[in-house]
Amino acid sequence: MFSILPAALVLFVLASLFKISFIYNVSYVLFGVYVLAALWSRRSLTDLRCRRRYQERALLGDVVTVTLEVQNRGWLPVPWVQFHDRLPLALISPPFYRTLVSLQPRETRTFSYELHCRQRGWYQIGPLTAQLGDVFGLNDRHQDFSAGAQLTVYPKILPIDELGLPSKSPFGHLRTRQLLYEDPSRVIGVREYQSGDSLRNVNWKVTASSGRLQVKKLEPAMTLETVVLLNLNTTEYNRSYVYSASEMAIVVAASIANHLASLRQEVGLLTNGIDPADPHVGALAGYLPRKGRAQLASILELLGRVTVVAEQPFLPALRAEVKRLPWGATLVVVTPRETEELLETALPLRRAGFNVVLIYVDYPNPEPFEAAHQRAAMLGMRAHRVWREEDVDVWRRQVQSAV
Amino acid sequence: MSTFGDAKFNQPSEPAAAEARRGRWADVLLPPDFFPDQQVDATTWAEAVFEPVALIGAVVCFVLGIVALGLAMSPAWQTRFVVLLSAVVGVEAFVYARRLGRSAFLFKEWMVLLVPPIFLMRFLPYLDDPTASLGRDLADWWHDPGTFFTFAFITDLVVLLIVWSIVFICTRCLNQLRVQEGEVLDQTDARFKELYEDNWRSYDHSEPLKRLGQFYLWGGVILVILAALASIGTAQLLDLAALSQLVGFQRPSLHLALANVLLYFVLGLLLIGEAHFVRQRTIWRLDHLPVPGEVVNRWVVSVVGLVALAGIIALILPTSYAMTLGQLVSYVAEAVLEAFAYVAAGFFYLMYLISRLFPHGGGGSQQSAPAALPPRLPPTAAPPPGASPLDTIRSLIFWLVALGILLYCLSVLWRKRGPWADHLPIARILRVPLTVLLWLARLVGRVGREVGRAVLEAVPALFRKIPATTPRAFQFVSLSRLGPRELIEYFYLSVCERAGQLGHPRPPGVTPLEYQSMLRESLPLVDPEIEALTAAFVEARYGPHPTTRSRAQGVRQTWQALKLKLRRTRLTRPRGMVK
Repeated sequence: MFSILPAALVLFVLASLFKISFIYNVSYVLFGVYVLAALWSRRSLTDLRCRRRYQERALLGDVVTVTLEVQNRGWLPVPWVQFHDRLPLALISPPFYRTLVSLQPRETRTFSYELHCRQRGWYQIGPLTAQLGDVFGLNDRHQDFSAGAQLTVYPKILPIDELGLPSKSPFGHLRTRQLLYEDPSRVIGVREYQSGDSLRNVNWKVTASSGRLQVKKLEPAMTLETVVLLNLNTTEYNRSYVYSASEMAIVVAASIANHLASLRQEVGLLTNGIDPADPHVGALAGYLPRKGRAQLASILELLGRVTVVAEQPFLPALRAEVKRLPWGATLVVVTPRETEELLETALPLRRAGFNVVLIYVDYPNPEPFEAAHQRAAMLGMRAHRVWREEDVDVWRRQVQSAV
Repeated sequence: MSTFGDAKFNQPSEPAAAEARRGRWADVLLPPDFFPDQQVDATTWAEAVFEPVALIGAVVCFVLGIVALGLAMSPAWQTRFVVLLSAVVGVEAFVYARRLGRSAFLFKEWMVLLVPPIFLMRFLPYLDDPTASLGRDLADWWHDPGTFFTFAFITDLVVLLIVWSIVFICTRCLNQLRVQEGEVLDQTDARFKELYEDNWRSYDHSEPLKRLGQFYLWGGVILVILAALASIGTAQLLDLAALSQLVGFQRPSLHLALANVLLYFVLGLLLIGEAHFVRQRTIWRLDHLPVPGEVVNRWVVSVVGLVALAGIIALILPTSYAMTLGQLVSYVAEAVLEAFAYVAAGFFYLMYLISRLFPHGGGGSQQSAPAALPPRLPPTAAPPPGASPLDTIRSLIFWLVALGILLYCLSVLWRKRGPWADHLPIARILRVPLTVLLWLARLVGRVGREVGRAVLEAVPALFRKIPATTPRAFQFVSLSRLGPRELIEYFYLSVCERAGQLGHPRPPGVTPLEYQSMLRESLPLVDPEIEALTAAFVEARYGPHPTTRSRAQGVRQTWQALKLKLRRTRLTRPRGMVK
């Protein structure tokens, strides 16, 4: 950009030298143009208001419509203003939205564009940069608006009808085929009285109507406090599959959490991945088991945001967190592969009363997994392998057949 | 489609004959634009017409300035065809440079285009000058070819070359504002650019605009100098006195309007505004941003409106001054002091009037004092000779504008300073006067606060009763000036004061006789003088008879004796005694 100030100043000096009033006028014109243009562009930028409206959370595959509302709150028109909204490449291509408008005084304009949620993640939307200037090219100004806006795309959730993850807590809401415990609050029918049945279970209304002694048929039940422990330490993954395997681990964790929440079970999530919204080092991030949709939303948001980490060992952090875990809970460890340290950590947990389930996501071939599966079985733990999305169903079928 | 020079052109695809004709014109006037979706529309046609008109018009205005100075220096200079041929050369240069796809200098092309107007310049004067004879001159040129190149002809030649160069360079700048060859990438490259380097540019379109702006501005400065020199006359210019006037900012004012200078600046500003739009449009095109029609319309309105508004402001602001800056500063300072003095005088006069409404209770001597006169008003600040109030105001505005311009330029220069300026202690130097000013402001504020506090304390004192008289501290009293009555009062009161200094003050509400008995008990040495002195005091103060001077002399001896006793007592007072 060129500046007319030096020339205007020289003209002013010339006018003072020659004392020709007309040169003063010419100098004033140049100064006037410069000052008015600067004031106008500055005022225009000050009076500009931008607002972005969009849905801040989305499921994988959703299409999110972002609406930009631009308002000129001043009494001066804005001859031109260019908006440039920086967007994540994973959601839109090209990774920006640009438009050019001219705004009248007090005018409001609305623009919209769509983001395609093709990949889970925590994405920064913007900042929206407004660039404008005067009509002579003397001043160019720009300002960032709506910085700090994020969009969380939840991870993919696969349907899991039945996990078959038993717990050692004696009372709960999940049906089980082990008839050791029955939940008096879950009546599934009546049957004839048999010797040994407790009189507290007699259904007196049905007995009176049928004329024969009938007892309540109760559904076997167990508490399932489940904590999903997600290992996202990239150094423990096979370097060739680190991206796909870690993403699969997140999908598995999200699917388990969603399934348990749909059964109204308490579920929690702890991971050593980095949460960009709340970065921490050394401790596991996440939530202890709780019920409810809010808990599921929190877990899915965390799984949407979390990123893999290179220097955050999983097992030491897990050992440090054991004290916080509820006794008798099921610990679903989603980890890349079996290691000696993993078994050394899992065995004490098993002995301490936790039900440990190991899910390996970094075994492309089933043969090495079979050995790992057998070793886990020898230690009283179950191990599953998930490599592709279809494997989740295989794993489910294996669980069903085993139960 | 053949083009002038070696330009490339994206031909519009309308098949109609009218469109084809327009296409031929477009070959000449429209700039080469390498944007594949170029549409020849009303906007581009307006540019194609406006740009040569504004550019050649501004250059002709510049030539008029040269001609005016030339005529002022040499009135015999034949300038009948200079302006006309300058316009022709300008058109030639514009059309040539408009379709040129390269910036190399080709002597042959320049010669082909420039020789005809140069020859016209040399031979056209023979058409309307009856005194000139072409045949005679041809014979002279045959014998002496040097006579062909007269001084006037060489001057005309230089003017034409200047016009050609300016128009050529400016047109090249205008061309370079458009999309250049190679800037529009193929689909793959464009995709790559979109995805990863959305702000990538292969060509800086700001540089031509900057060059154009500098050409326009400094050409304007040169034009102003030419016009000013022509206006004041060359005879004056060579005069030493005129030069000293010029250097000393002492020239008499000259009121004249130079149409060519005005037109030059107006056309130049409009051209800069249009060129900036073209540059922005190029960038938007490369960014695949559609340019709304309203942007074009508002751009034009904004450029014209801004220039008009600046022109109106320039006409309103004063261009002359009757007072120098020093005179103005001293006058303003005097006026401010005068106003302050008026306010102060009014305030104190008001206080005086209020104090007259509430006479003091005691002190007959104060009542008998002559009434205070209102403070004398300061003399009115006199304006400099020959300056009317309107001139003063005009001068004030002028100098304010001048100082504003100066400070604004300095602030802009400071904001745009280079890194080298960081090492200069400019900030420290500038901080010195600021520190002094702040110190003065603080001083004035402190004094003002103290004065205000004193006034606030003084005003309520006017409306309250005067408290009981407290014993005054010692002060020199000339006994010879006192009357006999006051003398006896003084003797008694001084003894009371001395007794008070020895720890036996006279309590309030105690009569002289009661105090006498108190002193006799506490200070037995005061007898018998205290009795005589008290009696004399009571008689003098409350008695119906006038006090004679002989009576006062008698009391004086008693007082002196008593005073010596009390002084002696004070000298022998033990340590730690209560004062």
